[in-house]
Amino acid sequence: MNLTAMSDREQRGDLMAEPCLTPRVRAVFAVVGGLLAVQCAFIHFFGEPYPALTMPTFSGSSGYRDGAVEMTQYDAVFISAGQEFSFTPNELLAEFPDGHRAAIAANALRPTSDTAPTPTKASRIRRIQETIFPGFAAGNLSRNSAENKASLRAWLRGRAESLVPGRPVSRAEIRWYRVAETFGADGTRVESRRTPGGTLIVPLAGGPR
Amino acid sequence: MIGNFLRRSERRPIESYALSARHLAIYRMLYAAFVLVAVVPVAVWIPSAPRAFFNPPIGPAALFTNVPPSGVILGLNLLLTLFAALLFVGWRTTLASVGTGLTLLALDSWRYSLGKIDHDILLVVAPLVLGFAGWGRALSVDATRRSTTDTSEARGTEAEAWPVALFALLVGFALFTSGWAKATTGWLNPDLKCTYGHLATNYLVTGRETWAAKLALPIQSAWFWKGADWATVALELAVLPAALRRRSFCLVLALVTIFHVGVMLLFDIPFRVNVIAYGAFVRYTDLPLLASLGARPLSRKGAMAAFVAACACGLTGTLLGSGLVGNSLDEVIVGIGGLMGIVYLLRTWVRWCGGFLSDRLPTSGRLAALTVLESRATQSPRANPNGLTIGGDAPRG
Repeated sequence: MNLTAMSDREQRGDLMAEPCLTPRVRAVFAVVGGLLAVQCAFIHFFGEPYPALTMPTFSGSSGYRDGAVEMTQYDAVFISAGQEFSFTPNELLAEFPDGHRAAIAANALRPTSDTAPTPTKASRIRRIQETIFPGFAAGNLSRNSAENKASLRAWLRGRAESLVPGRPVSRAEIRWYRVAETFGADGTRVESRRTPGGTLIVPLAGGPR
Repeated sequence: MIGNFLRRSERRPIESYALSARHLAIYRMLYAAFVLVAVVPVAVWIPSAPRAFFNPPIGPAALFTNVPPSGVILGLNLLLTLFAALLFVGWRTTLASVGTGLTLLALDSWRYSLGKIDHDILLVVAPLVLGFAGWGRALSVDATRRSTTDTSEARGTEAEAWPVALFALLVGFALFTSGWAKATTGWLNPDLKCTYGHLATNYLVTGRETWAAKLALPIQSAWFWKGADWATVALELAVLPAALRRRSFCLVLALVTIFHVGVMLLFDIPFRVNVIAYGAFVRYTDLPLLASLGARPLSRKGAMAAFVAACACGLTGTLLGSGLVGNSLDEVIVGIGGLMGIVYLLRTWVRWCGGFLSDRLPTSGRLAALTVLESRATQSPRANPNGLTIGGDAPRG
């Protein structure tokens, strides 16, 4: 084929001689379009699944309004013979990637009263969901189950041995705070207020190891 | 007549994504190399999580009630290494593409089973879609084997346009979801400074103290920050309709790559996977260094050496536990993406200016310009293997 001897239209026409839009291709596009529509509806009603074709939302203003932002933070405190050893979230959850630490804390380290689900009669959809996806949000929904409590206790014991080596730790406390930060006109921090926001207490002494 | 019009308007968006198999083949190798050196191993830390942390969204991981043992994660990572190495050399490319996509999907399902999703789904989608575009028709063991058995030249030079168009649509939709979420949660509200709010909390609360954020935070102009909000929403929403034509899609993607550089500089969040995904729309052999790449079939020895090297990369990364380069190339990848975006925009602008001027040149000047173009095309036909771009209006990436 002499490329220079042909016009652009002819060249393109030659390349496109084979039809690219067969019924099979049309069906693929239709199915994908349908799946994307179903995904939108699913996210709206049930929350984000994985996999889902979405990007991070960065919705709202991240709690910021009129020069102030409110958020929650926590400290991990290990208590040994009346003495307190305090650690930051990054130190407590060092073995997990930093992007995942906030989600882990929000799901598993909140004071129990904040998240414990009230026992209600499960709806039909919920029962189907539990049958097909028994692990769905298990950390949150089954937070008070004996297995979850025992696994958290065992993990905190392991962390206590690493963070406070050689000391018998009697309990771990995850102390939550509501923090209000006020920023100045130049974007620097002007004021920071912390108010207690509940504590998760996990006894570590005694019990099965 | 109406039927013809509909058929044409249906075909044109897809046909605009027609490209040589060599472009996609180079992208296939880049993608596989990225997976092998920067992604593998995935989720190796998951088995150490206690049951109390297991909090998966609806999806494959929610079929189970606890995190998997380390043997499962190790096995999946070894499988991913094998598939990505096969993809790198283009050996049973379609199978390797599907295998890479599904293994990555399985590993990511476990990675996000503690409740946090990182939205790098385009890395999973790319091989599952482009595997059917014929990205193994050049620079691959498959192409070498076919060239010894199939004497016809027609097969193997062009990629299928529809999977590339479909991938563009999916990229556009993914970004659209982000723009839509912003548009419906206050980013269009003139009273809220959403970009500023995210920047301030990211800097002062999360502790990502970048030099660019330090410079930007003292800016108190409401118009500046509201402009940033609106521009972000407009850009993210624009990608989906722009996907209807390759040229408009590439223009918007070029802007998005620059946007990603801005996000990285201000927020220290590098969207490396997105930039890698956008790489599917680049016409690599138009780049000076890559012009001759893939013109010759891959030799058997070369393919074997590449396969062994690719496997070694993945295995070393898995044994190290953090990948061969891990996240250390993130800034470089996003930076290169932004640079290519700027170059593409400048080139398009120069071409538009050139077209504008040539329309106003006298006939003799136009003839001279055409002669130059034609002689260039005769001298270097390899630079335009599909003949789509010589003096025409066909889109280029």
